Amino acid sequence: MSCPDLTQIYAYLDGELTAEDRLRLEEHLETCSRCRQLVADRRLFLEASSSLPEPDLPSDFSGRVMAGLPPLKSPVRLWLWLAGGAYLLFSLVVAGLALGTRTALFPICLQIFKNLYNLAADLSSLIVRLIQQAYGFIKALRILAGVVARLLADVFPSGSLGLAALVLGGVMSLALLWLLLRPTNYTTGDEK
Amino acid sequence: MVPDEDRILVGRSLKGDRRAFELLVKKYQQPLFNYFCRLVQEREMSLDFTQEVFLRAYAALHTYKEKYQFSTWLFRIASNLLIDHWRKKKLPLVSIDAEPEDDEHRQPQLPDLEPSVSDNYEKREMMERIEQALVQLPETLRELFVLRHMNDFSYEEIAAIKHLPVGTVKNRVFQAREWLRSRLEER
Repeated sequence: MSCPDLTQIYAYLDGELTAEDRLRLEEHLETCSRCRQLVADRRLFLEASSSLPEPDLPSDFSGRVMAGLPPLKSPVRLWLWLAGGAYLLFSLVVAGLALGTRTALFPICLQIFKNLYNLAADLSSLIVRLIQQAYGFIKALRILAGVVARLLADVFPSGSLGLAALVLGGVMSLALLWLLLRPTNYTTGDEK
Repeated sequence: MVPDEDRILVGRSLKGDRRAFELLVKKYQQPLFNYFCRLVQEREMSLDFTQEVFLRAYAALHTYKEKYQFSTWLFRIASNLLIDHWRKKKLPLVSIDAEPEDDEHRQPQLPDLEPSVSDNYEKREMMERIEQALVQLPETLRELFVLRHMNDFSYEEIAAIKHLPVGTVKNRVFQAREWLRSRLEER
């Protein structure tokens, strides 16, 4: 091995060489006094660099930090804002209605209340209709599945249909197993 | 204390447990103070900066992502604070964000003949000389040297703190080491 350059010497001292490179360099050091001197020199320099004295920190420093902490910001939760907003709106409506019935604004308040009531009723009927539509759709799917099953039973004898279902199930299970266990090359960023 | 414990302490701090955050302060106050003292050179300012890092970290704790190490997240805040300080002081910064084209590929040659530093100095004396020379080292190189040698971060951790490629960090730390070492030859 020819003489290593300084980056290799530092990599050796940092413990960053592979086992093979480290052995090769150590073999070289046994025969090369100049490189031995370089390594000894850099080793002492690195040891001294990593041993510089620490400056003294005041003993009450952590207390000082804790005393100056601002209020903790919690993550903004959308649902909290929505719930708060809805509650505020509801409170305002109720308060307005209660106040309005005792003043000259009674007819307007009554109208607002009627409109709100109608809106709620419309929304309720919309939801009911959506549920009915969904139920009808599921029912139609069930009938369709029944028809397909009967058709298949007519075309294939019952024994081979069971075998086909078994083979299909096996293939699907194997495919799923492969998807779950296949090797990946994902990196994790600077996560350690 | 292992990084996983840091994450637990962060989680408890987020739930309002101030004692948990105090444990984090006690763990990282000395490393942060070392970092600022070596880079700012003023004790009072270093104390202020160390405190400011914890205040910023606490206020932004909800933005901390568990996939990162808490120590690198904290030192990233410290590094940003330091860069702002240097910009305000209008120091002639050598940009380490803009990477020179041949930065990672420059191969330092083995010196032909160099005076042996280890023959001239005892370790203690060498430490004093390094401290004196460190003040003259350009700030951006000094920061990486301090993170490596005073804060004991790995090259990968420094790369995460500074948003730099690992190869660039290694090269800059190498430059800083050789710059400092060359100053030790001037006896």
